[in-house]
Amino acid sequence: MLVRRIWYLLNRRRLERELDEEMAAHRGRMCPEDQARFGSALRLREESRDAWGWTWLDALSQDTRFACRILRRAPGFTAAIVAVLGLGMGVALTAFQVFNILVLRPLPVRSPENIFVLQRRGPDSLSSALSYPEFEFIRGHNRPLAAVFAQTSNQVQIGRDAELRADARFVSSNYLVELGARTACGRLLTPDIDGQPGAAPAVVLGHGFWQRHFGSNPGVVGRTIYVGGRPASIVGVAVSGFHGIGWSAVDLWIPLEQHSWFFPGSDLFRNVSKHPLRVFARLRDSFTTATAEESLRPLVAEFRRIYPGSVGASQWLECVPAGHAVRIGLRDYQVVMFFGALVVLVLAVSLSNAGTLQLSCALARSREISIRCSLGAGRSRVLRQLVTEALLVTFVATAAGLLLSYWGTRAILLSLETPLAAMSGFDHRSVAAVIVLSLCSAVLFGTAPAFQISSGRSGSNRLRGFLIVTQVTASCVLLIVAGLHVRGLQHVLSAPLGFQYQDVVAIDPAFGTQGYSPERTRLALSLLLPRVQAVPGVRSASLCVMPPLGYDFWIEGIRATSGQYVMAHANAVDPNYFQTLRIAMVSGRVFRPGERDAAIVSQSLALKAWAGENPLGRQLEDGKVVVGVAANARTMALRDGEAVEIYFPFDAADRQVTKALLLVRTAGAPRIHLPAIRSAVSSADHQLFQYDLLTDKFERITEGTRKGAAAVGIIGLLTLGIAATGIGGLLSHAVSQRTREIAIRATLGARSGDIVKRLLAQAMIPVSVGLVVGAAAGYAASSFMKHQIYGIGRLDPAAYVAALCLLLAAAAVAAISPVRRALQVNPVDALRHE
Amino acid sequence: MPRTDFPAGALVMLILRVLRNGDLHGYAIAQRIRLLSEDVLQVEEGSLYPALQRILVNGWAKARWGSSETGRRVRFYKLSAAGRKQLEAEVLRHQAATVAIAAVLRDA
Repeated sequence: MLVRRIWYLLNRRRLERELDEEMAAHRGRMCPEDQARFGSALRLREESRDAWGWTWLDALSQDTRFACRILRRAPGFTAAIVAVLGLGMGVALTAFQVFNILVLRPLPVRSPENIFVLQRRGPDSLSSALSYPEFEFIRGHNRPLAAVFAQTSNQVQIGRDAELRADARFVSSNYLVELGARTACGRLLTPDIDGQPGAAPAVVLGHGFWQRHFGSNPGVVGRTIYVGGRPASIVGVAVSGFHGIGWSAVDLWIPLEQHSWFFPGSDLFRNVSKHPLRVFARLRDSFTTATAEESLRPLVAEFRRIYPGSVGASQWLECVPAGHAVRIGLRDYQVVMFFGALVVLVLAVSLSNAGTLQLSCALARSREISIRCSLGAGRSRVLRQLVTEALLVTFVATAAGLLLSYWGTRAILLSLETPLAAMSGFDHRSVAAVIVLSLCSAVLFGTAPAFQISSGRSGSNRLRGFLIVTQVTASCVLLIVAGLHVRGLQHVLSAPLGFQYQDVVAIDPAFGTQGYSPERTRLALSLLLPRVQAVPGVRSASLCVMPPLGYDFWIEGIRATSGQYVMAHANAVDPNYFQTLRIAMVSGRVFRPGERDAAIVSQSLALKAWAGENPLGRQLEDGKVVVGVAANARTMALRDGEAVEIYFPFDAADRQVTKALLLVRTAGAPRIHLPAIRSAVSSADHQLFQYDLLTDKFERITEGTRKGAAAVGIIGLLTLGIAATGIGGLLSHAVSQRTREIAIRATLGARSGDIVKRLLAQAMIPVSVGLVVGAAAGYAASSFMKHQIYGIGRLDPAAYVAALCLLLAAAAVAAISPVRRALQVNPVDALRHE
Repeated sequence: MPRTDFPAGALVMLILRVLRNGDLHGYAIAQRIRLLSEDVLQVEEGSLYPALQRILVNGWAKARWGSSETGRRVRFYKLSAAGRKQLEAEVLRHQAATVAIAAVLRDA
């Protein structure tokens, strides 16, 4: 049936000819009086053709051709509408595509749907990583699991002189095979070779790393590479596009079983209290996650029996799907929803603006439409015509949006430095999103105006006002959000940190990762410190435990006078710390060498805990006595508004000593002195040392805020521009609608001030409604952002005032040209026209 | 007897019925229906051709070109198996309706 219909469609020219011929023959046989009854051949042909069921297609192609003509006739209007719609759709599609690639799309590995991460879950605890003994135990008793594999990431120094830093991923030797990795050259890691005890140290290079540092030379296979100063041979290179489970790039794949070769002395294999491993599993066919978890329960109990205290009594192993780049939890959903809401706002601005444009264009055509109606076009026919035009515009705008989102997605993924950027193409989900989005847009921006116009009512001003309110509200919210972002950034960048991070090098010897014992660390430190201090250009050097401007934190509760606890960022530092970071002492003194039971608090902490009392000499709960008060410095509390910090003496006898970190202040640019410092420590075990300038750390830590502020700012300004054109459009429409009224008023002696006032009143109502609603919604948004973005206050007046002023200014600018036009109305001309 | 308007929907059934006795062209179909109904049913030629197109699209008949008794090139319609089945179904439905209508007329 359908096939036949399509055949009729394809052959209709011939079929029409045949029908004509047949009817002519019929007519020829009839007597003349009957011939008249035969009726118009044309009408008959039309009716016969109706039987083929393709009339709608004819109408559609007619509508489309007509729409094309209309749109071509007003290229400026078409371009504006395409730009506005394309922008909104581009932003929305970009957001979806990033979400799609990171969260929805399965990773490019073998059977991603059957990869589960094993996490230890308790009634109120969750450990998403496991210890090595636990991994090995599960691997040895894996009844419900078809395969078990694990990964852990480490930064390592590459080369004999540690000239390069690389992201290494230690993976169980079956990992690459399980995930279906392939090699560009050489071989993969395999359990048979690399998993065996005493196997030769082997490394597989990541494709990008191979390209960057080995010039894509296939001859590297078999060569020796120094990882953390330990030689290993390169056995293969992974294909481009393979990066295992996760979203970050991997430079080196190293067998987890050989971890102790690269980190001699590391207790990874024995330590059950360290949980560095992400453990993955594939389930056997007959198991679901629930049944697998159930049959893993006895395993956990058994493990608890062997290693008492390692696993909580009520904990079990949970199987969570892990075949995606990013797995988002409940908290992340809030962030996703928040960004989704911003995207919806951008879409709302662009759709309602396109709606206004469509409305004004169609109103300009009301004469044409009324002619069409009087020629017998039904309301539905006119409606169909207008909707077709909207669809056509949407189609072009969708193409523009697709282009925009392709670049946008790539840019975002590249800035995340994820190898997924290479896979930013579209898949069936993206196509579905595009179709849904463009249909929704067409309906929303095209249908309402079309109904309004085809109904012939002149109440379109209300619709227009509503569209303006939408635009102003949405761009107001976006501007407030952008303003809060910018303020947050300002705060981060300009608020005094209380210490000078410029000209300081942080050296992380990573003794802990290398498996140094506290004794060995103490020895190494006693050699290291004098050597660094002796380097010319080094002003001072100091030891501490927590890196300044880092992501890690150590929180101590300090008992206040009120009996409550004040949470403070803690660090263990040596006496030189305050001098090295240029933190002034407000009262009291710094630590004395060898002093143990002392503490130094920041001014903020002293105020918070013991307001009005002398902090000096106070005894803390663990017996330490406050010996000094330091000026407020946010060395660790970068993200907290207040510098609530407490410093304890760095104690070489303490177990924490293996976490020791060296801070070196140089005279002038530290980059110049870095080689000298490096060579000074070269005789020590320096291969794993990581050198970091605090200026770089500061850049890195503020990068996210900076990028976020830039992105939101750009989007806010774009929507502001769109909303401004919408307001301008509203006014200029009002002027052209009321030319006669203005002329009459002018003739009757109205002053120009009155005319302008009356005119602006029309725009002021929707704009002010939009501003009020927008400010309220912005307030709601900011109370959410307060928890997400550092430095953002719920009621940051500057952000609100700036947003409102910007919008008003934009509205005023948009009003200039229509108002001028209104004032230039020549009464004689205007009235003669009518 | 005056010529009567055609009952709606019945035209397709009648066309299929007259085609059952052999292939006919458009003019002959109209003539045959008129003849068999003793001039009562006048096939409005204006509705004949749309009906024939519907029959073709539905696959109830096939058309082939031939020459008529007067030597003109005309299209002959040949009933297909699907058309035969359709005819049976329509006749049954028609009969049921007729019986029902007659019953109402008789007993009301």
